[in-house]
Amino acid sequence: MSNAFERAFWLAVDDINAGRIEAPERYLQLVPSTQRDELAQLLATVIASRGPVSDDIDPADYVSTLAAIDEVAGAKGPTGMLPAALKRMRKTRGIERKHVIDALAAEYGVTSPAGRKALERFYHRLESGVLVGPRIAHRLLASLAREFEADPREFVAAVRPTGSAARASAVPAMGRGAGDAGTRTSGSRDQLLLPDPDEQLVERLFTGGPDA
Amino acid sequence: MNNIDHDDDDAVGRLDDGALEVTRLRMLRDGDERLELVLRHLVIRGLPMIGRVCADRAQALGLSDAQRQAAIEDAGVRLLLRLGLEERLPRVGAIAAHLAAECTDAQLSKPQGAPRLAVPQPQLRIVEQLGDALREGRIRRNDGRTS
Repeated sequence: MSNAFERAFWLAVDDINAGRIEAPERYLQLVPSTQRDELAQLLATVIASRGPVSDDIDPADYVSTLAAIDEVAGAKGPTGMLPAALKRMRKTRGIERKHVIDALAAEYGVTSPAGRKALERFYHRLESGVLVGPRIAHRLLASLAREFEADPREFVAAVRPTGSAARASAVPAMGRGAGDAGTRTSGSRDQLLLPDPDEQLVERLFTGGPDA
Repeated sequence: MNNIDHDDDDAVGRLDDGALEVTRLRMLRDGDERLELVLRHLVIRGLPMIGRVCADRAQALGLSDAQRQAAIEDAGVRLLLRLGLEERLPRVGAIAAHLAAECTDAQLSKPQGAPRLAVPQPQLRIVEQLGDALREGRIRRNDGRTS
């Protein structure tokens, strides 16, 4: 965002806050033509529904938000801020965990009972903050971000380990790579059975590394 | 927050938005544990904008108080995630405004639970008992002559 863009945007905001509503063209003229669409869109989404603004925001509105910020920003662990953020966003948007799992199962074609159970198990581990963030596939993070209407890059950044896990992550991870996931069978399963392909896929998505 | 003390908090609080943005980027690159403190300050600076946009937009969309509060909380968390990006970002108020609008609109598609004060299904026990009695022949319909 250029300085001219910022100046024009804030001029518009200040004007409206002061009760002076000008024609949008006045602000659009202040930015290069290549940025006018973007500014118009921003002003439309932000300001179109606003009249002159009052400053009497109810402090109660901020209480739960500050608690959420403390919880998410203060999260320490190998999966960074994402677990706490996911839980908060599910709550505020009324999204059930089952809905997220259904969406992932549909996107990745996970249809077998074993695959479904693995998806439930790994998603639970993700929200519990016990997975190693940098081992989670970026395509999975992108899928989750779409589900929450967020920028996938934010989810990739949010799984950076924090706290002591961040210092430990400087040491090479001991997790399995994507390549040997297929040799595993679950503990209770007959060792002669071939591993379930859906289960293997789920394990790769959650622990196989960024490109899995 | 082991390595963060009140002096850090005060120092960060005195930075203007531009300096705070530079500090945020440097801490992200260096993996500085005090990043958490900088992120909190930036989000708090964005909260008034989030509150205003959510309040105005919620009113325009006819949302409830609970939905407005949920949108504010959602936007606060989204702002925090956005500030985790290791790239130069626009002024925090601009990001906050944009996210607040998105999060308020998202409340429209939020699944609604069953209304807590829904009218209970009436239990018409007498009507049901009369029906049973009629079917079993224990009583007869009034034909107009016997009344």
